[in-house]
Amino acid sequence: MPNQPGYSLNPLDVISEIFDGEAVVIQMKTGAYYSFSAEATALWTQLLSETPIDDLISDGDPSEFLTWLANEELLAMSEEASSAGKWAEPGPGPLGVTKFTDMADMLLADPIHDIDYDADGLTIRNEE
Amino acid sequence: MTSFRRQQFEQLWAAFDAYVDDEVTVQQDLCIGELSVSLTIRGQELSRIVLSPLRRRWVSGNHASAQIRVWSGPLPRGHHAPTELRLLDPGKVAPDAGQHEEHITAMYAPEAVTYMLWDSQRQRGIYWIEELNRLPYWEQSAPLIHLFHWLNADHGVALVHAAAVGRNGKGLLIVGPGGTGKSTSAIACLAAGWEYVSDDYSLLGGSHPPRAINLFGVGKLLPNSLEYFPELHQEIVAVRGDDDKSIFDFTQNYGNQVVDSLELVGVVLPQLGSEPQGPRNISRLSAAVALMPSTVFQLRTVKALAMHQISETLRSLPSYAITFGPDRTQAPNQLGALLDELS
Repeated sequence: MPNQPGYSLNPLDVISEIFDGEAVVIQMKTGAYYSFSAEATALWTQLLSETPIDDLISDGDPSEFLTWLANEELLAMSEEASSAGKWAEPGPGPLGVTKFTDMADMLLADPIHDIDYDADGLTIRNEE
Repeated sequence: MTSFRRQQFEQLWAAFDAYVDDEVTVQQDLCIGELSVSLTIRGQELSRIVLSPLRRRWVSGNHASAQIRVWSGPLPRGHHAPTELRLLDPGKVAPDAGQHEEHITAMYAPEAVTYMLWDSQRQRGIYWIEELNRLPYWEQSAPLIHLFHWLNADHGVALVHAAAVGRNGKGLLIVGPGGTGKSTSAIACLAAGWEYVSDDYSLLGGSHPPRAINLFGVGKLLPNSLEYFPELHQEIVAVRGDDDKSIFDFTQNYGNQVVDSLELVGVVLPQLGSEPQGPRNISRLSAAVALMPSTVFQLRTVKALAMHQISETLRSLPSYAITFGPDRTQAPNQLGALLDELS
């Protein structure tokens, strides 16, 4: 049985693009977005390809970064990995991540700009 | 087997044909880049609101490959709103378009009670608002923007939150969130005789080089920026209630400057400061951070082909930051120097 990655990504809520080895990552649900350093992007790229936690290549221990990603809802940890102690206490984005929250209010206020996105609000989904 | 969403689309589409009153229906073909689309709009007032900003895109005699129906008011007897759309998870997005048979993208805006649906397979769109007097104010300057986003995305063209202006067919893409000077600098360039694609929403298409493509022939300015452009005051057609932004219609007196498209040679991130500062190289990541989130958060639906176009555009162009000083009318000088260097 192949090694399980220990986490799951949510492509419906998280969008990322890599430019010159650095990523811009957008969390659609929270309205936060991030610029990742080259080091963080190297790890992020491995996560995008679902590399198992134990196989991640990093200069240091990636667990703090992984936990931070989970707290930012950029990925979700699996129960197995969590109970196996593969997740550290959350760090401040130790690998050089800049977080932006200046557009979070756009989700609630701005039109296309200001369409409402409350509980039964604006609905967007593609047909499966 | 017909899917539930397909049934919803077809029922609402058919409702448009079921009215038996004598309300005026206006049909107008548009040419947007390489695409042609036929709008059919029920009602004079709604037709005026939707079609005025699109005047530069009007064509006649084209064979439209896409159709959009736009109307307001109660549905005809025996027809019902697809209220199930209101019950889906809010804010959910799907990463791709056109991958599924019978692919339908749908959006519901509760305050305006507006339903927007796009059929990627058959290239048909629906915009139905229950009450015209609840039409969102942004529809005055960017009507049907979600439908245009979905239509273009199907063809690999990206609608982005960015201005684009230029000279002699070569242009700069001006990126950044609201309040950074996109509109003011773009409108300053228009006032200085430049070619104009947009101050706010541009389409990106093609590669080697990418192009900025015109959609709306309008512009918007906050009251404190109006003073710089007294010569444009006669182009004001409305003032938005929410933020007092004046809406300009450039399609008539400045119609020659509202061009179909510009070949892009660079990306500019404007900044406002006490002193003007010349262009400084910035990373593509910085340009992406300025462009992608504001685009994604405003359009809400992420389409893979459109994201690819945005990424490729940013990868293929040099990016710069320019600080505009207090006199915004000087923006064309600074942008012009960069444009000359890159052209």
